[in-house]
Amino acid sequence: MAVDNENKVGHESEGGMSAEHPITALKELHVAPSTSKKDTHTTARSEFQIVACWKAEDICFDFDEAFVKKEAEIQFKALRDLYEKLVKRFKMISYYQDSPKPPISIFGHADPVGDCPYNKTLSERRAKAVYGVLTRDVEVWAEVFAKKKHARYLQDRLNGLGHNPGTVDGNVQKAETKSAIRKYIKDLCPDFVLQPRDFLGGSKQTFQGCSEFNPILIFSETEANKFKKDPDKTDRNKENQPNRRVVAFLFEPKTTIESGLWPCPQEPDIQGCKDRFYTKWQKRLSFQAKRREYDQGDETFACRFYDRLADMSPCEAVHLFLPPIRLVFEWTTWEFHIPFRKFEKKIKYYSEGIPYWETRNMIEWTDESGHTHSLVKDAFAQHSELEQIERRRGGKTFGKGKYTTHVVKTHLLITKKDGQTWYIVTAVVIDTKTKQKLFQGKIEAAHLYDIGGTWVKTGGAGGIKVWRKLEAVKGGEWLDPRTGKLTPSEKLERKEVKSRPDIESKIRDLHKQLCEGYRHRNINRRLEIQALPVSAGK
Amino acid sequence: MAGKIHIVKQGDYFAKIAKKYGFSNWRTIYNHADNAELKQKRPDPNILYPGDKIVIPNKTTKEDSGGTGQRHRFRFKSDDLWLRIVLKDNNNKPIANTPYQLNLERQTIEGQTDGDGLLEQQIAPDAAEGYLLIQHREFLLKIGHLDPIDTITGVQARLKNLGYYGGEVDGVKGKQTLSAIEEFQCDHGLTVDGIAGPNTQSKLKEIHGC
Repeated sequence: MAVDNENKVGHESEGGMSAEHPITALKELHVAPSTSKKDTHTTARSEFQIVACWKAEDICFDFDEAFVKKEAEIQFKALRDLYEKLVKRFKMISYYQDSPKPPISIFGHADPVGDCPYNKTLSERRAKAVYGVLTRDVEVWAEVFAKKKHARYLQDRLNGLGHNPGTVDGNVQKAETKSAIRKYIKDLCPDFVLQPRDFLGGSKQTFQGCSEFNPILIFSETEANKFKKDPDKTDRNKENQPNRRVVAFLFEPKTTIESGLWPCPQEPDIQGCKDRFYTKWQKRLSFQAKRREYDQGDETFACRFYDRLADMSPCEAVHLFLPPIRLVFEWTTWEFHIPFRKFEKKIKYYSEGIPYWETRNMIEWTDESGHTHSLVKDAFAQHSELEQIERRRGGKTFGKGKYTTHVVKTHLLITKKDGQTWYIVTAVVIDTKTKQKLFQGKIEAAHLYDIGGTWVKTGGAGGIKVWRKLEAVKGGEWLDPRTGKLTPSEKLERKEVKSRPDIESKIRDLHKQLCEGYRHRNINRRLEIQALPVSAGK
Repeated sequence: MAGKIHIVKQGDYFAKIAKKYGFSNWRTIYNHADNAELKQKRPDPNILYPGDKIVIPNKTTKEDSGGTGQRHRFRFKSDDLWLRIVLKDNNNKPIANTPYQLNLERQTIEGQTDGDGLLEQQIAPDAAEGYLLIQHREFLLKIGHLDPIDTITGVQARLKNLGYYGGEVDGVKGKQTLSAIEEFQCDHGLTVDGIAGPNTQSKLKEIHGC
């Protein structure tokens, strides 16, 4: 039966994601009618349905441990949003009205490094720790960190985060430690609490670890060998990161699954897992000629049962979240979520009317509409290219023809695919004769006219024809001189910037990359990389 | 003398074929000597396979003598056609004593499953498709589309009805079909090998009902 393939991703960030599953359409039953033989019949059994999924990536946990980090806070918020949305929707359907909550089951996964029993335990501990946060159950965390070495680790961590657990002595049961746990897990997930009954039911179904049996990414043979040879395992661990995840499935409300029909065993039992393996499971988990990924259709799971659960899940995909590069200038903020490349270019400058060439390091990227932009990397150093422009053009008036363009502020210099240079400026366009303000806002302006788009010749300055391409960055209308009508300008969409503390370190690395090799006293002043909401003046 | 040949299409079953050719009793065709081989291959007249060849015998006129001036009553053995579906939930428990609505081409029937979750309903002798609404679920019934147990489509359709298989009934033994067969084998104490051999088929037929 055809499936409605509308994947609805609710939230995506480096630490995880949440999404709704595609809705299975009408179920087909192929039946044979009966004639006189009154004992033949068709049996139709409805399966349980999963309505949504949620994933917390590896960065939400400490390496090789079950401790849930602050990075997970956003993911819990995303789960809350998803959950509330689903409850609201199910409340509107009469069949679910009296019980609209989707029961949850949590699965922890480990990467193939290490042995299965160890990974079974670790993956289950992680799933259990998440369960403990969601139910705000300190006892659950006490169980997860029951072993002395884990308890010590926990106490250490809590201490470091400002939640005093008492002396670090490996005793997780003592009052101060429990109190510290309580405060911490409340902090992690402050406005969302679930009850044990909101989960699929019974400890056998509520959380479980799949050990390394269901990776979503398996290296190629070549890669595996390369990693094997390298004594430094940092690269390998980084590449394996997508496999180390915790996934939660949200089931259709009112779903109950009898424990006899739920095959997942609790650690240390692995045989229960193996009973559900595909017959060809070894092949599935092996390194083959090419790198294989689950959401590309490759068969990477060993467990049939989990394969069925995850089959339609948007969460079970290698998720590359590109952290934004935020460039905060003194007057505006731009954000990019796009990989960029670096190269060198010779740029012509003028000094007292005499042209000279300088080599500049450029960053180039292609935006969603296929335009290539480039930015002078060293613009962030000494004199920002933009500052130069600002000095040259800020506050200046262009053209005294029919329209006068008064540039208020220059924001950004970009070079487009055709090699033309454009400026993003805030300007006011005035009818020279009537002094009527025709347009005010951000526009892209160039020295040479662009082909296509909306452009208007507004005059000249210093013998150069100036054409304006009026594209408001955020709203704005302009008077089309050809038609005499006010027309909303094309809008360039920019993403709304939200607080993202989890990628701050990534951005710092990018900052380093951007400023690589450049030592100048002004570097820190010019380029500021933050992960903060937009508040910079516009 | 043999009559014409009917080649079975998906959705055909004997009662429907009989009606198409104007026979009031499908047994006349099924039990006909020319169809002996088919009858052996297809022990259930309602489970046929596309491509099967059925010989449609010539209609014979039946002669009956009766005195004039008297009233005679002729009774046709009308063909009963039934829909018998046992409905179960995901825990394999029967959906018992639950009201349902059946929407077939020319009939809308309201009924209730019995204590064992059985829906038993008499339907028109050439019913093809319909909708079953029960609780909050809707099913599209493809009547007569169930293929024999020894075909891939037959295995797929049964596994689909039983909730093991979520893909298309297309005769292609892909990874989903394989997984479904293995799951079924695992659940029913059979050797798990992904092959729908005679043991698996017989168990599947038993669990499914036909």
